[in-house]
Amino acid sequence: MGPSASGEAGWRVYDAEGCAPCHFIARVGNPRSPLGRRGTADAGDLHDEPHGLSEPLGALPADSPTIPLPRQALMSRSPLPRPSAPPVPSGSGEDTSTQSQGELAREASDRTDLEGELRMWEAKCAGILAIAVDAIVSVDEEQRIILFNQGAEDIFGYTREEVEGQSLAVLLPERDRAVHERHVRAFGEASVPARRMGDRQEIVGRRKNGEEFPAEASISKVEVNGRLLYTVVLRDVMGRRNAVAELARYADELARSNEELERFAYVASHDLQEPLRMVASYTQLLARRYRGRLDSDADEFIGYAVDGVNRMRELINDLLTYARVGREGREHGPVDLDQVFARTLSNLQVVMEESQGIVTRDDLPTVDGDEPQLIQLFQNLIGNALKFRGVDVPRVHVGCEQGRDGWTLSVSDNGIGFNLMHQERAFTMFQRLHNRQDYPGTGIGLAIARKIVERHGGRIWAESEPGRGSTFRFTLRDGN
Amino acid sequence: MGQDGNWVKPIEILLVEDNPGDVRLTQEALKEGKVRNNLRVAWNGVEALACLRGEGEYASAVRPDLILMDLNLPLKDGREVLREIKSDPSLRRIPIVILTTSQAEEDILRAYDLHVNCYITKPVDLDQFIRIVRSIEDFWLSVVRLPTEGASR
Repeated sequence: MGPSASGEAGWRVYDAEGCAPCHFIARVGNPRSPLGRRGTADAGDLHDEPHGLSEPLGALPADSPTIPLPRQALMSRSPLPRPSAPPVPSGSGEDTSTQSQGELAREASDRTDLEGELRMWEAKCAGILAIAVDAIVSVDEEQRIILFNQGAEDIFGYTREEVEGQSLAVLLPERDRAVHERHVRAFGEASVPARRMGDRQEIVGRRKNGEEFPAEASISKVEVNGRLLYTVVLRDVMGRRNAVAELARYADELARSNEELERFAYVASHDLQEPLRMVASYTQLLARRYRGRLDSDADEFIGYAVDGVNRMRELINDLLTYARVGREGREHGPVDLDQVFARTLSNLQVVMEESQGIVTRDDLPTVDGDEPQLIQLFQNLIGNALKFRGVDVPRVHVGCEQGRDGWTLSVSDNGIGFNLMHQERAFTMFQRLHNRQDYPGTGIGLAIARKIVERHGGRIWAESEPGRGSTFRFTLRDGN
Repeated sequence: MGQDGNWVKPIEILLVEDNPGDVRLTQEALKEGKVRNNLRVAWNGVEALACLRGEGEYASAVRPDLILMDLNLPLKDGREVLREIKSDPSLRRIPIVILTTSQAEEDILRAYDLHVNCYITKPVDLDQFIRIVRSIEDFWLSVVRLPTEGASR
């Protein structure tokens, strides 16, 4: 119904969303502007009381430009049938004077409503124009600037007075001017109901001081009595662009340093294996062949050497495992956690037997992941639960809960627990919370667990209290 | 069956290895094994091939029944040696066991692509190493039936 209603007032609206504010452009513009001067003559029957309508924006000269109406106003003005006044057949000749008086009265009251509505709209639009951070610039058919809001002043560094009546080109770098001029013209000539020109196109703007800046711009057009009016809304994205570039640079640096660290850990642990193997093998060979055949000092020394080598081997192996989590990730796919559980228990057979532990599980889901890594994860968590046991028979339960974005798995035990104050420490590589004599290990198990969970896009945390067992929870994506 | 080994010809093994520590360990491990063997050592890839082909000073070298070889070798890399042996009709039937520290997936794939007979990662632990050398010996020299072209070249 738009075309007929607005056609009545000599307006045609082409903007993308049919949003009303573009009707106000000419009204807010400088009356000296070309459109203003031209617009007055054809203002149409709605514009016979410009002063009354202009109040919210302050008094305007008598030759104030067109007073475009919001669509709603235009609609209500259209001669729709009204229940209280059925149309009277023309030429009936009866009671015409009474009827026309009634019509006049109604019309007067309609007009008052309309004026109120208009004032409201104008006030709203003036507010929007004043506080918009974006530049809002309207140009006439010759692409001369007729509206330049506060946002535009801030962005371009020109005052409204400086640019009004000037070509839009002053806001563009010289090299782009011709192209833009053609674009806008083509946009004006397009017969299709227009979209945003280039749908939030990126353009380059030029400030008064000559500085160029990237901007996102969209444009709408309005036809006023056969003449086009364009409005450009433009956002300076230089700050954002710089911030994004900066962030990307930091992210790159971080990724690179992480990668280097991982490679270092891998190479170091890998290359350390070779000499370690020699030391380990020969101290073991010494122990094997000569224990009890030299004196007791020699036996003690050999014993320490073998111990040291064993510890070092564990450390290097764990470090290698940790580095591999990053380096050797496979494609993720559906992984049945029931199977992971079964594999884990078979890997932990020795510990299970030694600890007499009882490990139970819920029906576990299928998740998205890398199976060997998930086995490693389960192994580290269940292995820990068995290792850090109290005086009771260790009981470990693997549970699961479905959440909005996937699954939360839990490994709970009745072990010695720990103070949550030390949680971060527990997850950090080579940090231990307990005495090595009581609980052997390198202190890398939970660091590996965390790395695996994070590589699966999840997170891991603990709930614990000294003497009351621990629960480790982690999230994984659903695999179906 | 082990005791019978004393009565038959000793098994010929060629060890291609540049680390004397590893050579000695392998010797020690084989010493604890049950199969009588003669271990010959080639310290690099070039020497290994010369030895296999009976070239120059190796003219009198005996054809081995089994080759144990590291991957990272001086002069000629183990992968290269492997490729040459497996593309030589007179040598390719000799079983080759790669015995290396490398656990890299790509090394393993590569070796099998080059038709290695098996790939073993050297363990750090001495007991495990001895166990592995013994099982190589046991499997390749007792369990497996090899072609009968035997020691004749």
